[in-house]
Amino acid sequence: MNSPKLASFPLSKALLVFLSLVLCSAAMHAGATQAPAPEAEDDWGDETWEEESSKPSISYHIEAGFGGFIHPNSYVKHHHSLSELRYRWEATHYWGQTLGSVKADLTADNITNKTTATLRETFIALPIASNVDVKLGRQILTWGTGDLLFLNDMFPKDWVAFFSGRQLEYLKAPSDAVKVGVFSALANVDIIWTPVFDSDNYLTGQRFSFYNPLTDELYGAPPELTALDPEKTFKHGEIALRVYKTLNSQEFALYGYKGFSKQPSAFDPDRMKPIFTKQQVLGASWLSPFANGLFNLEFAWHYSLNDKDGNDPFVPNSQFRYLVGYEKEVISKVTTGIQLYVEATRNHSALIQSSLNPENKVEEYRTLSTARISYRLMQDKLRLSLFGYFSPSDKDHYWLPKANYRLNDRLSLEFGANIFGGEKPHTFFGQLEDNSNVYGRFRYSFSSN
Amino acid sequence: MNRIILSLLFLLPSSAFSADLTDVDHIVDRAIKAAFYAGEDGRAVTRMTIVDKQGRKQLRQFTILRHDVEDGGKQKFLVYFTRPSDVKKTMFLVHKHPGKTDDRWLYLPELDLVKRIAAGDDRTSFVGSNFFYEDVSGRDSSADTHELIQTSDTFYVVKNTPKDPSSVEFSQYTVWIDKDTFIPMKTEYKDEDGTLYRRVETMEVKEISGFNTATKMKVSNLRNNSYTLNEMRFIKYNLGIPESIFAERSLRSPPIKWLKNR
Repeated sequence: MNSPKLASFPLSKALLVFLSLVLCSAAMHAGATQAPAPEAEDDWGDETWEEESSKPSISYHIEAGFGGFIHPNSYVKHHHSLSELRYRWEATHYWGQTLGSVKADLTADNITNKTTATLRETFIALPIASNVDVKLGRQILTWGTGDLLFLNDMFPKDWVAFFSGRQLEYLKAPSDAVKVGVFSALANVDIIWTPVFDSDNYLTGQRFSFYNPLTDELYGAPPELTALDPEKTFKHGEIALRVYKTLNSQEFALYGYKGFSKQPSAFDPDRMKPIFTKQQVLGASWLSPFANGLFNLEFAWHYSLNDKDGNDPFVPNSQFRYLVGYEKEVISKVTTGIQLYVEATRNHSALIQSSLNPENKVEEYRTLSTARISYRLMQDKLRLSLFGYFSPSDKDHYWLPKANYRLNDRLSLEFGANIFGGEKPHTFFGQLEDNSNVYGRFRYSFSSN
Repeated sequence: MNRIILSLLFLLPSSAFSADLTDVDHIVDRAIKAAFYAGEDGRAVTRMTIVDKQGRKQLRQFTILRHDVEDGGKQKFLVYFTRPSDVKKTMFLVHKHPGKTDDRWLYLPELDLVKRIAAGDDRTSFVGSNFFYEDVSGRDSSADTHELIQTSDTFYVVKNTPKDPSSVEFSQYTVWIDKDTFIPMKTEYKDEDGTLYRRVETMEVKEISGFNTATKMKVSNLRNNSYTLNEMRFIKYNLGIPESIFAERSLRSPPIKWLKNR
């Protein structure tokens, strides 16, 4: 799985370390801002404004998050969907045009009863020629035009974090990769090589329950679901490619990917374990201003290399995925968006014929629509938003209401909910119904400059 | 005696010798160029202090890079936030097309997300401050009719009325343009009842590389007494910033060569 842990130790001992770190940071911060500066504009904590390039830029925050299931979830062992204290430390530094960046998290998690240190980002980025940029190391990667829908973005995602209401940034899990960007007047090209496959952080049954197609029932840990990762050899790595161009305010892109499905959606009947299956993706997108809003189209062909004909019951079939979206600021500070999305499963009849439980297989055309409304008020300090997924074919839904309030430059609060539901227990969101939760988080930020 | 008068005359600003301008469109054009188009390109570090009606403060610091595609016309901007820490490394890219909607992109570093932003109301808050997008990048002069209502010793006073009143929150605004520098020194906005409710003031002007530059500005919301102070430093013009850096590449990899203060 992603973000290999640096260290992991019992919660009780860890809390001590944790608290000392927070206190240290606070003390360092206090020391930094109380440095004498005779004509200091005290709000800024300095008068010179100088970016001290000789010193790394450091910032840190602490965040506490709590969430609970709306109805008791009998499939998992605990009552909380989120219960953690997190310390984030970030440093960036430039040596000439070379950027070094480190982001590390220390998280005391009351659900796993563990404290873990993880590196979220550790990379070096530099231009190696006037038109070539290289980024090497652990990094977050994103592309594509969808709003919380991913057709061509095959970079790892952390659905556990997303469903539990962690800060949105944790939806994207890091990749250990090399990214090369080549820029020219004709078009720009990004090539990303991930030598060792990085999967999504998928549901294991520990925090959230899910539908198990083999037993045809909902599943919760223990034991946690463990999938078999592809061999950790370069042959089993991932390559992603994007060719893109902006012309006359319109954005065009072509995408390619070769690697594995990001979820363990296939099954190895010999070893009786879920596995990641070989996959190739080809796609394209177009984004254009239209009637004071933004219109986007995206397509992707997910080609299932181990089940090209679609008759292997243990390997998902190939799919065509289509997306059309429109976003607009309808009135001042109120933005709305809608998206229509279709997953067309190829060789669907072969899938049904070979399936062990055909009645619970995906529809040939899974349709999904999303709606978003967001509202900024009180000088943008309060942001309210509602995002919803609704599937007419699966008859299921997922709503995400959210309120974020920034009290000042240091302290912010967020409250929200993840509400799943559906008519059937095996559909994408319907299976998650028992995981519906509400959460709250607060964050306190420090900075060294 | 004559020599003293002669030398005193030389101390007077040059405009004292030139005839007053009477063509209001020409005055407005010069004011826009003085305020938003100095040099071929420019860089500045900006600090905003946002003060709400209860006196609570928020701070924003960013470096702004500008490239003029055509003088008085198309421009490109790159805004790189450095403070506070929750917006650090956030970037904002604007391709401004006067008379048309701008293209805007926001880069959120924690998600590595380049987000195209739907062209919105230009008269809404810029990063939560009392400044509007239009105050930062300039209002399209063809959107208003202009009238020179007074020419004093120091100012051209121009009254502006929107051609499409439904698209803006004001019924008119008046600008006091410095006769010497053509920098707009004060702008006052009135609502449809004729009540003055918003004021933009230039608090300090400095000459930088031969260009008169507003280095301190204040925008006040007179309805609730909130305001924003804007101070700029490390201003440089004609650095030779290439147009090519105002693109997605710079959002994902900040062009540090051009962003550094010195």
